Amino acid sequence: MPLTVLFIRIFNKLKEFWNERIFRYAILVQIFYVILSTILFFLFLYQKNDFVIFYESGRIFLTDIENLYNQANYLWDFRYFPLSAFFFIPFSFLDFGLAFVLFNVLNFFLNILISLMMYKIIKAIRGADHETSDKRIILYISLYLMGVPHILNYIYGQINLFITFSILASLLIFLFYKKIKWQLLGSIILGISIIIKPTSFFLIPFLLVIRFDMSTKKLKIDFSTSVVRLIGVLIPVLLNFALFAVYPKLWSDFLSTNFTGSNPLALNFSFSLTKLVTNFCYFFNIPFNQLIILIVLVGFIGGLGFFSYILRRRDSNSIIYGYTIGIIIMLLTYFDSWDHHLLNLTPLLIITIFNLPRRAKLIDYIKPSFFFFNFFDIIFVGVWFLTYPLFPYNFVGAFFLFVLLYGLTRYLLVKRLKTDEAKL
Amino acid sequence: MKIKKRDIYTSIMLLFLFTLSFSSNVIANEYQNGIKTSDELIWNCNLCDDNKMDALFGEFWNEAGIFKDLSSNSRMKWSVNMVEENSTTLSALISIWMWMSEDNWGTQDNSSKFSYLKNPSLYPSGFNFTNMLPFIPFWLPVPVGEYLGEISLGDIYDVDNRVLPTLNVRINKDSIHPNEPTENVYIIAVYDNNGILSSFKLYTSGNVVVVDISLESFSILVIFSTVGLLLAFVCSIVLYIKKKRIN
Repeated sequence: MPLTVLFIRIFNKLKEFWNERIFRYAILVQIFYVILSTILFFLFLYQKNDFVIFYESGRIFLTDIENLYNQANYLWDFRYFPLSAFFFIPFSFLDFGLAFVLFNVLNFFLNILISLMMYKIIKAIRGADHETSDKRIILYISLYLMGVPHILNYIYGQINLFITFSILASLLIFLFYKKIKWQLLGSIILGISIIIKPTSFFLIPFLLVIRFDMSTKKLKIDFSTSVVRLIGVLIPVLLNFALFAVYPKLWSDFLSTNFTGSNPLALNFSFSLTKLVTNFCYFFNIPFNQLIILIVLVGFIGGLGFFSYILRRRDSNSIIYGYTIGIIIMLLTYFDSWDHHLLNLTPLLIITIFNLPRRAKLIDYIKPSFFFFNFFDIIFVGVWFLTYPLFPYNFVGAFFLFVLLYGLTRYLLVKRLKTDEAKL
Repeated sequence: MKIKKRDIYTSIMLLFLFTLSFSSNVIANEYQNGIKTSDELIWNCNLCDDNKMDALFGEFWNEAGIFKDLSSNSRMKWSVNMVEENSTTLSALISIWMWMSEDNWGTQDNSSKFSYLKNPSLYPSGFNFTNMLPFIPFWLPVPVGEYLGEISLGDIYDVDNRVLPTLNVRINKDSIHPNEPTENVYIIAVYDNNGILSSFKLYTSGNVVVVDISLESFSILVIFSTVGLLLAFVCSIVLYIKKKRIN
């Protein structure tokens, strides 16, 4: 498709969205978030945001790559894969303030593209019993755009929207195109997102086209598609290991800053289960090894999610559920799960809501969780600061993640859905 | 006409953003004393493994300095007599009641004057607060995170300001004297908004805590917030389930 035709189609679709009042409000709210973050950045947070780290990492990647993880170079720890710094090289050539503004403008446009991709995916996977008009889709897209986690994403100059964009792009490719070359492309895009930020790392197992048919007791594997997808996603990730091989110091520094250093110990308001456990051990002086806690919980929760996926009774559009469960596993098990990471989850929840039967009881698990994460989770960050001397656990987010995990695994595993759902 | 107006607004907004981006953005921090005259600060020692400390630092580790007589369930009190500020320094004169287990504080053990440079960047590169236990200060100027961030601290320190102002310390085996400490020792010191040490944990590898000290500061607000949070959470769940059952 020529680029001009694509632009015209995008423009026309946005015009269609614009006719809905809620979407106009959503765009205004987004613009407000961008302006607010820019003002706060220049007045108070000029050297106190995550973008400083990305900006510095781009510069250090070019000039002194061996010291990429030397935390003396940063305000806060740089913890991502080394190639993630590569993406910030263009910004590091600009004046810092200008780079921040441009980065956030880019984030704004990414949000528009994310909305369009959500729309395209939802139109394709929407359950037969859903309304035929697009009003409800536009409503949910608008709710996503109004989501409170965007504020922090803009204020910190964070890169979560790049991850969301990549996740949705790969999902869209997997749903629409079945040829092997497209499978490779979709997984490479997902691999690139892992380079930028490993939030989507636990999506990798769900790329496997594998299912144990409970009725026939047979394991079905689409071997070629699975292998191609794995190769595709691992190519970008393994490029980092080429860098680690050339610069061994990078590898040891990467491990230290992510898993074994003091950073994973620090008391904070992350809503991940791992953090709740380490906070508990820290608070009550219980000796612990943060790496073992991480591995055990990844094994337990990741195993639960993955085996539910393999044993699924419903195969239609299953990758949507795989992706959603993958992100939930990451948010539950990695040390630091912040409010702005939820921008990787909420679009997938919206897609799930539209894929489930309209009146499914399971929506009772998904919808409240979506609204909690989109509007209320941030409140509990504030509450954490009030309670941490006595109760340093931001547990409500973890609770809703478990609610989601329960709802989704139940959807995948139960033989018959409840009466209300069965007729749908 | 409408389109023109919109164009003008857009242009103004973009111009505003770009002007901001090129404008000067160096806002100097004005550091201050977070403590006030007549403030009373009490720290509790929740845990002190004497045997382990003897093994790490030798048997005289608690015979001098701020850890003098430190033991489990003991308390230390500071009473702020005076805070001073001039063009270059921030200082405080403090009466100290050293670590004791009795409720009656009695007469003060000593008084000390602590001072900090108002401009933290004037501290020499590789600055260490102290080369002996506890390796960290019990109070700092505010805002703490920024103050710590501006000091070019020695290699043993790592400042983490992401959530709570935190000073991580790593004291390598044999780095003080030969055989002192006898293994790597780590410290996490967390400060409150007033620059007062709120939590100190000294631990060895495997996160085995040897010393745990915390500021005695459970305000009514903390208790009220915690109870309120838990109650609100439980009530919300119960109400939600009830509502769904009725429907």
